[in-house]
Amino acid sequence: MSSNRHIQINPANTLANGKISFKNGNPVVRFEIGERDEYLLPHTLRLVGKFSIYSDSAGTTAPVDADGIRMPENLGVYSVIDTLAFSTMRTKQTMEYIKNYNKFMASFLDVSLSKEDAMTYLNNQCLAMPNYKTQQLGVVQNTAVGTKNSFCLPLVSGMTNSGNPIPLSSQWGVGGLEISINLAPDSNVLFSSSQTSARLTDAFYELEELSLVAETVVPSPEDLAGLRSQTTNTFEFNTISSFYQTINSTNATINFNLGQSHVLSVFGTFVPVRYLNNLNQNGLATLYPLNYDAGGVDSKSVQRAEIQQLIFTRQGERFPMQFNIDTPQKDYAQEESAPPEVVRGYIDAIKQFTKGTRCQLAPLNNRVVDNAVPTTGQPDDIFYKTIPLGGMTAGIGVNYDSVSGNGVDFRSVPFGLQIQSDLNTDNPNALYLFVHSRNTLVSSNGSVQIMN
Amino acid sequence: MDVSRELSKTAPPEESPAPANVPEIVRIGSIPTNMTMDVDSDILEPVVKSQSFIRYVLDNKGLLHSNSKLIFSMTQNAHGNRFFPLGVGAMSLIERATLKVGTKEINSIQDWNHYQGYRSTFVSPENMKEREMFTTGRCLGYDFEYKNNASLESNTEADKYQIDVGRQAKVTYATVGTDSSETPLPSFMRLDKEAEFQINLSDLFPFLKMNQLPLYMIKEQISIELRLSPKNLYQRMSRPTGAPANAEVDINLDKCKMIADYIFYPTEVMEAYSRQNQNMTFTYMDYFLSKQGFSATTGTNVEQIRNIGGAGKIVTKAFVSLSRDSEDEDFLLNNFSSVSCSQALTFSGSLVGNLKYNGHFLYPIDRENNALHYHDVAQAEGSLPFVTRAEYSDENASDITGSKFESRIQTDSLTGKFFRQAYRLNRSERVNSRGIELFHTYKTLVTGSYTQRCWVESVKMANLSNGMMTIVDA
Repeated sequence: MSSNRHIQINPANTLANGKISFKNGNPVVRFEIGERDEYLLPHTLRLVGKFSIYSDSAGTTAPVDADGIRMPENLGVYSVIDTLAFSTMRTKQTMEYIKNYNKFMASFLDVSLSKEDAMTYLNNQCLAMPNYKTQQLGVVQNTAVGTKNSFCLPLVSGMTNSGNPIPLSSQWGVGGLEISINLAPDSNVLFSSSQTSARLTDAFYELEELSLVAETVVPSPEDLAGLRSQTTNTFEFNTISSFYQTINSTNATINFNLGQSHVLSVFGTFVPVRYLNNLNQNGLATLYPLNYDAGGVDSKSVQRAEIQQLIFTRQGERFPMQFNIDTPQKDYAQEESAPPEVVRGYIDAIKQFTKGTRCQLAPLNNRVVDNAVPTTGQPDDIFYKTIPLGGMTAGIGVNYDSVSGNGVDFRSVPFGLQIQSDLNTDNPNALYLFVHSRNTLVSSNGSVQIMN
Repeated sequence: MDVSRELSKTAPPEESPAPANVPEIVRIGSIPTNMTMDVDSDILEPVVKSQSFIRYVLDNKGLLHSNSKLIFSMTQNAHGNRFFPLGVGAMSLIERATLKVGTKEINSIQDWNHYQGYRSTFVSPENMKEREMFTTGRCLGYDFEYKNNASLESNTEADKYQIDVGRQAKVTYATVGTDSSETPLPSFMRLDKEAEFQINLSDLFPFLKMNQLPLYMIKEQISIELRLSPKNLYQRMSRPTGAPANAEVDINLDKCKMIADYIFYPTEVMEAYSRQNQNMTFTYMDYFLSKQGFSATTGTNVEQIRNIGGAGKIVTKAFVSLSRDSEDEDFLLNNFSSVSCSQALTFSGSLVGNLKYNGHFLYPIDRENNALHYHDVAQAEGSLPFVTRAEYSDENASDITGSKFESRIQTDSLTGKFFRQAYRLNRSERVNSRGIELFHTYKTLVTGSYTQRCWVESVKMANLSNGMMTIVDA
């Protein structure tokens, strides 16, 4: 009978003081799960540690309210992970590489977990909280210096969520697993709660006591003998690939060669390029496109650039929908409610719409509105930093396969996206696009081949 | 019971089979249909009832529906507007629940009300608010405490969150300190309304979540025995500040009843099932308790290495709670909480935990991270405990509102009061004769006396042979 066992692994490149931060020059964390005749249960994989934010460069002072330091409340510690990579330890082949991981998680968490989950489960595991002020006071301004913030992150990815045990053996598996995490710059994690960053210049975040915990399955001696006698083993897993593009016109056309044969879905989110790595702005926000205001990037009122039409194409033809998605804003530009077909497509791409029972998208945090700093008499929810329920949850997406799980072949044909919007000023909006696809890994006599 | 399979086996044969060349659709004969299922609900009175013990006896008929209910109500004796502890509701009343067949115990859980304190954390806040409040009396939903801005307009900023029972009345009390906002419970939940609450049979006896008892096949008497929480422990209900202290609240025994739902299928199906299962065995989980008291002093670690039993059994899980003995009716959760190590500015309270059985530790390195403890609970149970970080480990207590709920300050009653640990024994091994050892080091607890409870989940087998049931460990 097979049995399970727990493993706990410390980083392979940890410093003597055990502290890791982007600011102090060690933005990469690497874990090595050595080769062994066991399966790794990927859904049990957790990054464990403690998280702190300091307002001074010495790392001795916790932020106070007057500093106005914030971090994305919907992401918590996920916001510090810029890239996540899984590769085989023996041959160093990349199995999955997710760039802009924090942006991916912003979409994933909003769509797959409810407000109650966010207040409880995510609050415990990744220090998120679906209200910006509660998160700021409880995590960023956690004054209990001795206590710090414990976290235990599930490393969500296509591979870990596909549920298939990963064979770690060098004979009948991937030959060990290497997990690399690149940390995000402080300027893209921390931002000002107001529109001034004077008190953020020295602020930084820090991780310590990092480790990776997981569970493995030890096959029974009979099963092990059978596995060792196989010359070739295959292992199916999902991956998330990320693409980046900017749009800066009323009629944006985007084309990518995805190079994947089993594409399950594509989804993406927008944020003005000017918000990236800007201490005044939340570069990890998931917004609808915005226009530029003459008052500058930190203007108190930025007009929306409402999406009027979306067309997803494959090889230049509309696919899978053979029609244009016209939004309510096409007929009536002042309409503030989120375009329902776009929202449905976004949810469907991340978690099959009909199966989704938990979600944080709501009319309150998914609206097509100008972005304005409220003045007296105005409600707070017109400003993207003070939207409740975890902030704005906008995005676009398309599900290619909700039936067979086989996906659509994009190996030799381009994926296309046409966006007609009211983006009529010079304000590039970044589009982070994520592709969910299925891959197969074949291992034979110690060598590994990944087929996508 | 696979009813459709039984039906196909017991369906009467066609009396005059039609020739094979006649299409089936035009043949005359019986057509297999879905089974008719009747549910018969009986209102059972207790055969024995007192303020400390209640026994119900079930009729040996049909199959017992696992969602049959036990009804409880309290007696208003000028004890003020008390209310059931928010975390467990009316489940606070039952100290031990036993299901007996003849003289044999199928399922028995000691300190069941504390056990439910743990189980209730897996009920989602929305269910607590919209369903459990009216059924079991549990009501731990949460929502944000939104503030007003400078112009006294409601805005989106919430410094803290609070208990959400669907209402938020702001009442000014001159005597309750600086924070005068207070949320009251809906009036029907208070003692003076003598509301009736119900407890699900499958909550009392977890094995009923997976099995339905074929009562008609059992020849012995089937009884449910409830040992009630002693009145003088003051754990039955919580009290607001205005109510008299240490009042012994009575259960209204006239209102105690059981709504027993019996399922019936057509007689021939039930008889056929009975004939074919003369000797029937099913496995289920039972929970035994290991309890120990100890004292702690602030600033001193409490190190515990103790045997929690399990020798010779197949154990799948163990979960641990730690209640502070001084917490009673003055707290919203009463004593049905599990306290965390205290957090302060200069030190980091934490629990170092591990489990050892068959000569090996469960974890290669002792668990100390609070978020990891939470993760272990979720992994062991396969579902999420719906408690916040401040409630679980007291790591950011400032998140919970300082305003009052039923005149009790919410931070006092909720902060670090859900700190339970769970260990899933994943090596598929029978525990050897040495049993399981629990290694816990609490750093550090507030001075006081504590009771540590550890429930161990083990596999049992029940065999029903010719109407007589026998119970053995798997």
